[in-house]
Amino acid sequence: MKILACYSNKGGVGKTASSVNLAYACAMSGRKTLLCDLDPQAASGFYFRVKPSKKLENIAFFKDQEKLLDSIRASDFENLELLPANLSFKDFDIFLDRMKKSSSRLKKALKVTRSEYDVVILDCPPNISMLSENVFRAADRIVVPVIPTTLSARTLEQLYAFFEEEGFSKKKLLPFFSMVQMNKKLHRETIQALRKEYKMLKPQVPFSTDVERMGVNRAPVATFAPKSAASIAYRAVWQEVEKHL
Amino acid sequence: MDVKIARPFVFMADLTVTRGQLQKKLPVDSSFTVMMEKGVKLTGHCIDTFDNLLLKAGKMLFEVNDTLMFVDLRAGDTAEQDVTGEWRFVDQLPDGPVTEELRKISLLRAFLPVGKVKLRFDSGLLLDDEQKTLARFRQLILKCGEKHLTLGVTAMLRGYTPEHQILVEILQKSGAQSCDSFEDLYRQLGIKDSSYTSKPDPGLAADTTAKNAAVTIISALLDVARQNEAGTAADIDSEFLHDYRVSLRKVRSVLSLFKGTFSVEETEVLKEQFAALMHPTSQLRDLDVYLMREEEYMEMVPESAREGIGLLFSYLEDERELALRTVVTCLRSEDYKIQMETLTRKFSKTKNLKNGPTSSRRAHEVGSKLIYKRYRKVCQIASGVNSSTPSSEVHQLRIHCKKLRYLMEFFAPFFPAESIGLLIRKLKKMQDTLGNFNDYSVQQHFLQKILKEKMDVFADEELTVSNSIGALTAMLHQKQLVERQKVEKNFIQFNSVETRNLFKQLFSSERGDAQ
Repeated sequence: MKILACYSNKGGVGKTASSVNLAYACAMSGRKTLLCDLDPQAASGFYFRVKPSKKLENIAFFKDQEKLLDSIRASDFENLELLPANLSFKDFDIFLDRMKKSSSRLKKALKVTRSEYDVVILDCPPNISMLSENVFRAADRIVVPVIPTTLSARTLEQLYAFFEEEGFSKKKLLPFFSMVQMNKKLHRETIQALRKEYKMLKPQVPFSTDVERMGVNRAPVATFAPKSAASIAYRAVWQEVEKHL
Repeated sequence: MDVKIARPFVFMADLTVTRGQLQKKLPVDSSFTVMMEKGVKLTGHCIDTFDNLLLKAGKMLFEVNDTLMFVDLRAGDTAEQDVTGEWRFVDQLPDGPVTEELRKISLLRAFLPVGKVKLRFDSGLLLDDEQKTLARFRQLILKCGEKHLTLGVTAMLRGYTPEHQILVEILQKSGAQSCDSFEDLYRQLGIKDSSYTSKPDPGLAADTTAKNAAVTIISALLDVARQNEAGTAADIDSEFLHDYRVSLRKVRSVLSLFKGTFSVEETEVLKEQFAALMHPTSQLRDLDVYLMREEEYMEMVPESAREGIGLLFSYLEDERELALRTVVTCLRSEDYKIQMETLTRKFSKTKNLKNGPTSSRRAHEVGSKLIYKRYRKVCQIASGVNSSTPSSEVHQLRIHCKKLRYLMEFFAPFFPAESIGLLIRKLKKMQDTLGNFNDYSVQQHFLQKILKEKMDVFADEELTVSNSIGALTAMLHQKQLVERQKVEKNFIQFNSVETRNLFKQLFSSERGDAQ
């Protein structure tokens, strides 16, 4: 089983859309996939119409393997299951802080899913915290959506610096451009600059109303707009990521 | 009362289950909805083997125009594949998902139309208030004349077990009934009466006499043989003749193994009669068995010997034509019909047969004695088998094992099914090696016979064929030696303390620990 995290220390970069669409592409490639929503906003679950888990509250995520497995829900798509989040996930850092070996708790908690899935995708909340350290430790690879703007470039820089400082393997990081608007000069220039500095994934996901419509359709973009540029781009990103797993 | 089911619900209903019905059966306060998608109405033929192997495995096959549609009734899965032209055997179909499934059913039996049906596949979903799928089901609606049947299965989704239970309950309230076996389905649809099986259950009472058991078993076996006559004569597939011969061979085994059940004189006459009945079909069966092995033989010999094997097989095919004609003539002859009818009548009533010394003894008692005696004989021979034991003794062991197996199968209804089933399986494992050993030996003899007596038919190609026969015989001999090595090891496995104790416990009059 491989763990793929979808992470950015900046909000609003298309993390959940990426998690949902990459999880769908992964499942469609024939891999048994679990999308694990770590974000208390529970948006991944919303996109799949799965209601927030009631049983998996507070510390249960890290302590109760049976409850964790019981909280997994089938999506409407083959090979794709979900571990929905709930509001109590906002206190993950508090729980982790109280526990021993607090930075490897997530890896330990996810061990129970190892025999069932080929890939577990983590949809992570946007901050650098105890939980994100757990994510960096547990994940085999981390996809980082980056909007080609100055602010996004700065947060990517911060992330690499953090990895350097904390001794995490930078090879795990797979940044890719998200919400790209090539008609904007700033986007074009930022892309050019960042590609020089970092090993960005080749495919880039365009800004798209189809991705926004995911909230209305409550489904991955490939299911209702399979030929859209965004859908094709997410599939291409997945195919690149797949090579690194 | 509704039963709680935590697994897919396989169901049957007399009428079509509709969306409206299901929706109405949902609890009043439920926010769930049922969605259904009706499939296209199709007309085609339902297909199965003579012995309904597909249906017995919980599968159905339809040929609709130029498409084969395969349905797994328990899993709800379907597979489709294009088909062009006539076909009867799996190896006549191109590779594809249906072919793959049918390969698991039978490579030897012909797939034949069972009847014309109208069919439709529907699928349904149970959704929550956010239109999330909570449980699914599929149903196949079959119609044949006025008869109507719905077969379906639900699919459980992870994390939605209680919701699946709701779907099961509304299906049950709409007339769907749990279905474990589909074996009666063709009859229910009125498309096929026969529920043929080569191993019928004679339905023996626990306290029945040895004579009554013998007569009942023989009568059932005769019935099997008779049901295979038409298929054999029409040369539909090789299994008709195989089942025909196996049933008659078993009749002969009953006659010889149930010693003392009938009078000595009558037993002798019957044994001769049944031997004579089987005789005209022996050659055809032998040839069928060889012809099935063509591919195997080709792979066994080097490239240089394949031409000769090809010539040998084309000769065998010609011989089969002749052998088939003999069988057809025999089966269609008045003499044969009269003989079979007479025997069938004779075995229809116990009183039609003259009593022997053990006629009135309980079958259970007779069976126990015969089985235990034969078992001890098997152990006696097998325990002495080692790498230097002559082949003739290994053949003797094979024959005793076969007789033991028949005895255990005949008397199985009088013993606990689980225990006797276990012993039969253990015995079968040992028999497999012995059977292979014997097959390789018989095949070598057969080839030698051709070499000695039939080579003139190959005219100028005599040398090519004889060289190939030489190469093949050498390979068969090698294989026979390999099997020979396994006999001793297999007996050690068969002869475990548990097996010995179980044999003793079930069949010996002095029960107890066999150690």
